[in-house]
Amino acid sequence: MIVTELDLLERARIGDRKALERLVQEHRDSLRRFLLRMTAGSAESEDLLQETLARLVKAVPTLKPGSNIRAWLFRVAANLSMDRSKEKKRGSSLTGEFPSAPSDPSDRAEIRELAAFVQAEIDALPPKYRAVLCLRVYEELSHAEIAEILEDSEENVRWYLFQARKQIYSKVKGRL
Amino acid sequence: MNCREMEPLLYDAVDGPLSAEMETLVEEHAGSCGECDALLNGLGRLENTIRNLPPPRSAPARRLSTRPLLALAAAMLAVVGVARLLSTGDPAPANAPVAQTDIVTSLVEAHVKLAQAQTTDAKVETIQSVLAGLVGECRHSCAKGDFRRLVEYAESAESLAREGLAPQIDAASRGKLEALLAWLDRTCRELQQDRRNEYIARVSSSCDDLRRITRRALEEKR
Repeated sequence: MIVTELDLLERARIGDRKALERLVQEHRDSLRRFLLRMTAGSAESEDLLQETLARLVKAVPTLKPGSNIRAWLFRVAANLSMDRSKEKKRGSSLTGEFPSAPSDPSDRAEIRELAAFVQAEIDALPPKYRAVLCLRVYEELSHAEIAEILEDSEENVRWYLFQARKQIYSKVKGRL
Repeated sequence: MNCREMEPLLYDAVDGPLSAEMETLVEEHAGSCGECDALLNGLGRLENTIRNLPPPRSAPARRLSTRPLLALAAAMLAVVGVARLLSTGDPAPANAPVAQTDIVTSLVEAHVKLAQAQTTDAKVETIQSVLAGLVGECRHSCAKGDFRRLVEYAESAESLAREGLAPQIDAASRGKLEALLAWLDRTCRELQQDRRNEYIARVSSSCDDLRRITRRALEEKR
C-alpha cells in the first residue's frame, strides 16, 4: 500500500511517532541543503534545521488535515533564515567556504573564480531574493509553490527572481 | 517590443520554458539586437554557473545558540553521559552499539515523545526513557572525546533552565520531580569533582542551573 504524505501527516497528527519521523526524514536533507545555501555554509544552518524540525513536532497536532507539509517546513526554514540574516550586519555573512574545485580536469582557475564570485553575490542578496532563488534553482519548486511557502503572490515571486538574477548579473557580467 | 520591454522576458527565458508565443518574440528580438542577444547569452552562462554551484560546505562549528523548545531530554542526556563516563572511568566498550543517528534525529525523537506525553508524570517518565534510549550515543561522544556535541546539549539545558520547569509541575508529580532533583544533586557532585576541561565545566554549570530551577519550582509548590 502506498502511504502518501497526507496519510503520514494524518497519522502524525494523532500521535503516530513513526509517521512523524518519516515526515521528518522525507524533508530533512532538502531542508538542510536549503539552509546551508541560505547561511552561506554556516554551522548555524544546523541550528536552524533543528529549530525548524522542533517547530514541526510542536505544531503537528494543530496542523489542518491536508496541509502541505513541505511548504510548511520550507516556510519556517525560510523565515528563520531570513530573520537570522536580518540580524546580522551586512558583510559578515560570508562565513562559509567557497565551492571546492570541480573534479573535471578541464576546469580552470577562472571557472573556480567565477563560481566563487557568483556564490558571493548570491550570499550578498537580500534574504528574500536569496530564498526565492534557492527554492527555484536548487529545490526546483514552481512559482506557485514558492509563493505558498513565502505567503506571497506568484507575481512577486517572479519579480524577486528577476531582481535576484539582475543583481547578480550586474556584478558578474564582466567575468562571464 | 523594445529592448526595455524585452528585458524581463530574457530573464524569464532562463528561469524556465516560455510559451511558444513568447519564445518566438524573444528569438526574433535577440536575432536582430546584438545587445539583447549578448544579455541572453550572458544570462544563460550565469544560470548554468548558478545551477552547478556545489552546496556550501558547513563551516567549522561555533558556539551554538540555545534552543528554546523541548531540549530537556537532550540536555539531560549530556549530563547522564558525562556522569556515567565519570562514574565508570572508562570509555564505552568496543562492542557497544553505536547510535548512527545524528543529533537532529535524536532531538526530534525526544521532542516527539515529550510532545505526546499528556501529563507531567508521563513527561518525566518519557524523559527518563528517552535518556535510556539515547545514552549510548552520548557515551560514544564521550569515548571519542567529542565534547562539542555535549556542549550543544548543555546549552540547550541553559535555555530550559531559563524557561523553568515550574509550569509543568503539579502536586501529583512531586515525587518524581523530587527524585529528579536528587539525581541532579548527585550528578552535580560528581561533575564538580572532575572538571577536567572547559566542556565538562560547562555541562556541570548547565546541570547546576537545572537543579536550581527544579528546586525552586518544588519550593514554590510547597
